[in-house]
Amino acid sequence: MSTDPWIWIMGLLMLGIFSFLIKENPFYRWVEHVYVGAAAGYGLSMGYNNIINQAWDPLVVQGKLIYIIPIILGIMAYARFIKPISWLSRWPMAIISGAGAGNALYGATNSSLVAQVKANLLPLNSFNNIFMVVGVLAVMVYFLFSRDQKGPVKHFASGGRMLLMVTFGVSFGNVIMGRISLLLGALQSIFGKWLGIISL
Amino acid sequence: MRKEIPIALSFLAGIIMLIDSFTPGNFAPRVELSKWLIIMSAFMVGIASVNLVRIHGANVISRRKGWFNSFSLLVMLVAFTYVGVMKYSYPEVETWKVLFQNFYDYIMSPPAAVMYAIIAFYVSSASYRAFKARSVEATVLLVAAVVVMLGKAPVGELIWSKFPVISSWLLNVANTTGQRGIMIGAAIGGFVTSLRVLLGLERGHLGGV
Repeated sequence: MSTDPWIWIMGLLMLGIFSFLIKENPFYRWVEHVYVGAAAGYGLSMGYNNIINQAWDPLVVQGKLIYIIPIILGIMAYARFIKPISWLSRWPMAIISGAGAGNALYGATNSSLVAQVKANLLPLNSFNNIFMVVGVLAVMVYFLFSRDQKGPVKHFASGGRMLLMVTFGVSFGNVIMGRISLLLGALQSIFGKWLGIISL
Repeated sequence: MRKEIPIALSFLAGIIMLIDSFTPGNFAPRVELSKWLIIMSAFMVGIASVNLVRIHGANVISRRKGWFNSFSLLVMLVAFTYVGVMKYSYPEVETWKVLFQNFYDYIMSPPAAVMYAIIAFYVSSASYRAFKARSVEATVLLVAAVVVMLGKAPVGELIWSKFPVISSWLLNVANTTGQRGIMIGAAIGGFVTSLRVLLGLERGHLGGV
């Protein structure tokens, strides 16, 4: 059994979360609150570091006065807590979402749409290639909601739906396997690092 | 002004990003804007913490049920922030670095890992209820999931040597095909939504002005 107080803290916190499997209980709720506090504190620390490195140092040390603007915009976000001027908080939000939209317009379209369409332009010389070309078309037809799916289109769309079910099944299987890996890691920490019952 | 300026700012920020995509090299306004975004996002993180302090502070002050949990949350929030601020303010002091790393490794990461891990139990029990082979689609989903799991687990190969092969085909061909269809559909949706944001037609993120 470990004598390191940090390992004990880790073990007890993990046990608290595991206790939820029995039923929701005060110990679990306490650990949950500690975790939320820690995560928020971590986020704040990172935020502080970013503000110092990206804004404060360039402004104060390097004398780049332009950095006063993002600082003011950042402070404006807090206007949402003061009702008469809460509308000011929309300005930084507008810039962030506008930049995200501009980025997505080219970046995401390029990587998700153009790249995927290009990757699917395969020579029809093997079963797998034919399956992929026809399969993607079938899925796209299934997502076509602007007109009624009747006759052969309906059957083609049903094929697309079936392929989507396989995709969801595969994703589900992957998620379960990933979670089991995490579970094994957590159990190793408890029984190995903390209690010393198993050797790592 | 309350409506027009945010829409104009959205458009301007989006256009700067867009111009960068079509110009060779780094477009200077975009480089600058990216730094501004980091700074503004850093301030935004603080908003979440202010909300936490407001809600949980009120719980502690009025001694509501579970106030001790709220108190623990606030203590943790203040402690982690303090250690983080000291670490970044005095990078030469080793104690703050070690303390920050210990906070991360032993207080923050383990509960997060267990939370994700116990989802395995809930997903399994939910799937038991949801995946009853009531229709052809549900059966296909169930079979694909089981085959992938058996293909990845060593016991699958012991049961039938073909499980890893089928699992690999499902992952690399069938799954890629389905994912590709979904990605193309989502990209078209994302393109339209982004365009609506830039043109000021989508304003939900601005509080629906």
